[in-house]
Amino acid sequence: MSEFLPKHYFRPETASEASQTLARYKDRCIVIGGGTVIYELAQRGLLSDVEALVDLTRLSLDQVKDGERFTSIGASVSLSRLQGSAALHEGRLACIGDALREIRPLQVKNLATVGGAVSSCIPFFDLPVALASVGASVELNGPHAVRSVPILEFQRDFLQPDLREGEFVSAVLIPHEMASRASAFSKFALTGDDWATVNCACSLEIVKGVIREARIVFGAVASKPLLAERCGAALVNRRAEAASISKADESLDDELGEPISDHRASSAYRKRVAKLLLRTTLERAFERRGGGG
Amino acid sequence: MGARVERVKMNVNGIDREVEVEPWMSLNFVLREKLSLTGTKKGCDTGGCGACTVLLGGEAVYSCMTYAMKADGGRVTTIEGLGSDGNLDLIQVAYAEHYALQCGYCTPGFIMSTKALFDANPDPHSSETSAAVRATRRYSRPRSSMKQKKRKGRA
Ligand SMILES: Cc1cc2nc3c(=O)[nH]c(=O)nc-3n(C[C@H](O)[C@H](O)[C@H](O)COP(=O)(O)OP(=O)(O)OC[C@H]3O[C@@H](n4cnc5c(N)ncnc54)[C@H](O)[C@@H]3O)c2cc1C
Ligand code: FES
Repeated sequence: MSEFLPKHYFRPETASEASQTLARYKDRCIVIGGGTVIYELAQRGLLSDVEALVDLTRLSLDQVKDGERFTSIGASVSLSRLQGSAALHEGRLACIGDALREIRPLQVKNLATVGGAVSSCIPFFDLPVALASVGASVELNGPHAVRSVPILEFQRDFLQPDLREGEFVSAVLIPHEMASRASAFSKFALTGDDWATVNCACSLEIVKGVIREARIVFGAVASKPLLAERCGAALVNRRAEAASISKADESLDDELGEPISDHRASSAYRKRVAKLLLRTTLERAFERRGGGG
Repeated sequence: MGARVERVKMNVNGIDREVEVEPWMSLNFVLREKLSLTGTKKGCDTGGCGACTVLLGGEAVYSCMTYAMKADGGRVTTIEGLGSDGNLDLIQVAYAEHYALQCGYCTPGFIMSTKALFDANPDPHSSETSAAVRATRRYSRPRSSMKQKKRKGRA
């Protein structure tokens, strides 16, 4: 197995220093968040060409802040800090709280960062699916500009984030209007602390008991989280109640296509689980309602 | 060209230490091989067992997958920092009295994750004590030790 022996460990003091370092080393350099995925990838011999690690700790990206239009979750915020953050209090962004509770080992959550969770682009993860359901974007800091990209576009494919030369994730942005939506996340896993066999998140805008918009996202079915658009559209203008779920269900088979088939589950099994999870997740969100519901 | 060696400062069990670290080194490696603190074990080396748990800044982490550079400037507590011969921590006493050692190899990890749990919340819910020792059903003895710690810690 090829070894992981980076020569350099950089701790830049500014964002531009971080970008310049990443640009200088190109593909031979990666950002380190908590290092929990890096450790795993390194053990599998997948990082033998990495010469330098860039640690963003000194950039003060470890806060959750409310801006004018977005809640901004800094890339260095740990998963346990996010779980305890005021942004998730009183039922706000409930799907994110659900997803974080499904990541069990505290020892991992104390170390792992939000930046690492979204940049890993591993389709079995929980947090990106919940974030996608509340329309989150990823803020990218590059040598010349800052841009933001919807998380579903940022995660291009398995292990492939949309990171240009010199770019790193500085934050995840969630539009304020999402905080009052009814949302939920559910996961089916083979054991209490396994990765998802399938997971599902939804966020619903409910006005006077009627669904005005629905975003439903599935994870672990494709190489990146899948937004089930028709499934969501089928719920619009229907009452937020169990009887409406069968409408969303109708297009699901088609929308899921041929899910991943692997040692955890066959494609057909995943489809069946996805159907059950859709129901569980929507029912949970209906129970919670949201502002104005 | 070899790796650039960094001098890392960390406070380990109340003592300021300075160690030479290469970027690939884990905190587990540094504690065991450079500081001879072998109370912290390495089991699965993939975040699956918890035997390597230590506290970093008061929070439980898996030392096997924590890069040592992450501990620079930090405060590390290992099992050696908890009690001493004849003066055990209440958690250690509870584990001993409940014979909650299992085979003994992973016990330091159990104890350190129990320590983090009680430091954060002296009155944890049973679901939290279960989560602290991961596989709930199999670990009834560590859980009963935690109940004792909860009672005595309060007294
Ligand atoms: C035992 C165990 C159990 C787990 N269980 C679950 C689970 O049940 N559900 C779940 O969803 N996840 C689970 N995980 C995965 C966990 O969510 C990830 O390990 C964690 O989110 C990765 O974060 P990190 O900061 O450690 O990433 P790192 O390892 O630091 O980085 C991961 C990748 O992202 C890149 N990166 C990191 N930060 C940035 C940035 N700011 N900008 C650009 N690129 C960046 C790195 O270069 C690397 O490619 C588990 C992990 C372990 C070890
Ligand atoms: S050695 Fe098993 S979790 Fe670290």
